[in-house]
Amino acid sequence: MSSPAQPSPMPSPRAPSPTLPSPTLRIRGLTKRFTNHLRGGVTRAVLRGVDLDVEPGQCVALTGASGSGKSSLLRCVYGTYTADAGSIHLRTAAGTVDLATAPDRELIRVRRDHLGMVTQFLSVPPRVSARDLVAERGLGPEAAAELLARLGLDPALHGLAPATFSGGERQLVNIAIALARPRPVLLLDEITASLDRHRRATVLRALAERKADGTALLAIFHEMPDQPGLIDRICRLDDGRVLEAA
Amino acid sequence: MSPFPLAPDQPRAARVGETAGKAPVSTPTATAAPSLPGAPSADAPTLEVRDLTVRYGGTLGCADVGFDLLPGEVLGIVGESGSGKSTVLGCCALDLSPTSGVVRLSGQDTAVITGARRRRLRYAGIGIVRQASHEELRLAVSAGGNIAERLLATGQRSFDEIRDRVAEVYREVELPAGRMDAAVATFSGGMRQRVQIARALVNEPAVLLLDEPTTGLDVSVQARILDLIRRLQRQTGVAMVIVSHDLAVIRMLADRLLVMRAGRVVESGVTDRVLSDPRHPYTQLLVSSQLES
Amino acid sequence: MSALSDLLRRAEPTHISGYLWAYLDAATKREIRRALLKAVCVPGHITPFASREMPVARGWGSGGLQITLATVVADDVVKVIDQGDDDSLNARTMRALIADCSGVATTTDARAATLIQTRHRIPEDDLGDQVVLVFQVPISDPLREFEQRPMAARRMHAERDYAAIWLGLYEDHSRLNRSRFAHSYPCEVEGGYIVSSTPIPRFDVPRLHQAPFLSLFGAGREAAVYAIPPYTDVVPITFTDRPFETEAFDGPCASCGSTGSYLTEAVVDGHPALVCSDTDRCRRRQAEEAAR
Repeated sequence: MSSPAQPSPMPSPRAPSPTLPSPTLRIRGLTKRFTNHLRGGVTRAVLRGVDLDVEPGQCVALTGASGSGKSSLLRCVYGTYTADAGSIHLRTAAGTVDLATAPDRELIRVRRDHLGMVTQFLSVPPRVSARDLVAERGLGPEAAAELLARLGLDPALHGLAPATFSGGERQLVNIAIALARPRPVLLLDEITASLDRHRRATVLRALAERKADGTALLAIFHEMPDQPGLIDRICRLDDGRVLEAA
Repeated sequence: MSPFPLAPDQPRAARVGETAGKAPVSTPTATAAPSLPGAPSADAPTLEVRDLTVRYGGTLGCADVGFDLLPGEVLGIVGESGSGKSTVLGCCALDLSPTSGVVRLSGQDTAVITGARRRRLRYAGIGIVRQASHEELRLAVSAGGNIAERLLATGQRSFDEIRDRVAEVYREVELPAGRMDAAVATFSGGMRQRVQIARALVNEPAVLLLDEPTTGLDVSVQARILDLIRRLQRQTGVAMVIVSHDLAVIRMLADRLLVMRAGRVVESGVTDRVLSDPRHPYTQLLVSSQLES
Repeated sequence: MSALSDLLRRAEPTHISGYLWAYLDAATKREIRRALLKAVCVPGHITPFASREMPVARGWGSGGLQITLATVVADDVVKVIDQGDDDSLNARTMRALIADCSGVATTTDARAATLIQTRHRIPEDDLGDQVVLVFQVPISDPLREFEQRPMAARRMHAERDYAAIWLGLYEDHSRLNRSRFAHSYPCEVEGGYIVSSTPIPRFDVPRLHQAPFLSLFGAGREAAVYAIPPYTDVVPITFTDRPFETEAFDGPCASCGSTGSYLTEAVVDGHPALVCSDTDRCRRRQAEEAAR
């Protein structure tokens, strides 16, 4: 846990209402299979009935071998993949929505206000500066610069387009974009993989702060972080099923 | 001061909402918590297309196409040449008349609007950027004149005010200072697209239609034009339909996506979902044919 | 007498004494008068008509001549000017043709005339409602310069879609700081159609506004007529912050000393000088000065 007394320049998410019953994210029977029509309709199941709860302020780490369905699970929750069966209930102060069946506009709105996702890939317009990319998520330019600086990006780079950055620097921009707007659930897919030790620690500290503020984290880590108290639960996946949830 | 004063501070996504009657399906397992409320129904669609069918003689242009677009939303339409995407855009631009079906602009059925009213609606309510700039621009006329034409067509009669507004938009699209009174014929392809964008937005239209706006430009110019479109869209909150065969362009700009083939919509949805988890065989082919960037 | 009743009187067949009176046969006169009636009823509307071969070349006033010969009546007094001059070769021969084939009286005094065929000028005398002006028009459509497709131009007129003309004006003001039009200045008629005030100079344009006389415009080559009825609003189009300006001259007329008339270059006493383009009025003024 980071010290909550330390003033944080990061925007804080809304404090969860005490009357809200947990969990924030409840996944039941989530099933996903791909049908490849270009290969004669061959199907491949990636999730075979996943049940998982994430409480407010909790960090659940997904583990499992490559191909076990970790990333597919995150993508189903975020709506990048369409779930074939099951439910993904996201509970917020404004109500509950089943992301597995939410219509397009609902999904776009939930992503904006309640659900963030960070991957190891940065997909941004090629010529917009790092500061503007963060600022356009609803922050002012000063707050954007502050956030980037706090994550350890050299202020000299703030005005440049991330296309010219190193992998680690790009990833900091990517994380800053996700953290710019406070959202109660964050999905993290190996976001520290390209960072050096020092930057990794900074980012994990920022995540811990969010967690302390009540943000629920569902994360895949390239290597398990040594940040004490960050991970509350480990959920191991194997062949699209939850093997153990400790 | 932005030349596009329409809610510049408001984030684009803040304008995206649900239409009435399409409230999210919410079936919480444990308790009957209230579902997430949709946006107020006053947020009527800027553009509404229903059962749109166009026949060119015996040839099908498009069939049963439908979508709606709320203020601030960006819809992409992809598909190969001849898939009907430009036909759909042509109907939205009031260039074509549907064989059947409805196109409503800001709630008005465009089929019953004819003659001078149709022209005025087109100048005041719709901005368009075409792939072939000469279809939209008068090459012998100055860049400033091409931009001013839409102000003149909507009845503005103060030369100084028109001139100021044109200069403002001209700067906003980052065209070279001092060439505003040069004929568009002397402009490069990328610059002509900028003139088209300035012309399209000078009247602050409700909807901006882009038909392959960067096709045929070299890569660096293309990137700059896309950035410009993206920035202006966010700044003005204009609703936008962008037709392209380039999935990278669509991925960067569009919230939602229609995939068309042989005149019909074969798949639609949130852009990253359609492109990451394509379900229709044609969409799978389209996505797998795309070069990795 | 209203313009319409005057025109209707001219359209009465009773005065036609012979089949070829006034050069044109009765059927042709009827055709041209019908076109003119429509043109008067829809001020500024370009009305097509079956233009005939005339004994002048197309482009040399054949449209004006057809209107004159189709509307002339036996008690008319006709004046013909070219650039304000009654005595140019063109004006003289046309006046002779009209007089020869109809037997009507002719004059050079605008105040005495009831039918004035003109190219380039409106006589500078105060004209009353007894006179009809017939203009020889080279290019009838003010949109021609901007839209070459006739169908498209007709649609633009029908929809009062004059953005192209305004665009031309915008281009002039941004490049030259003024309008390019020296003659044929586009004018809005009665808040509707835009017509070409052709081919009179800007100097004469304000005289069309609320004029007591009927103006008929004929383009023989283009087979089109249009009209401005008496007491009609004729407003040269211009930006609200760019006033319409007429030609100004540095000095008075070298012959009569007039300061308020439209001047052209001429040779006076072996030297180039600016003199009145309205020659008849200039002569009368000189005579008045001499008598004083």
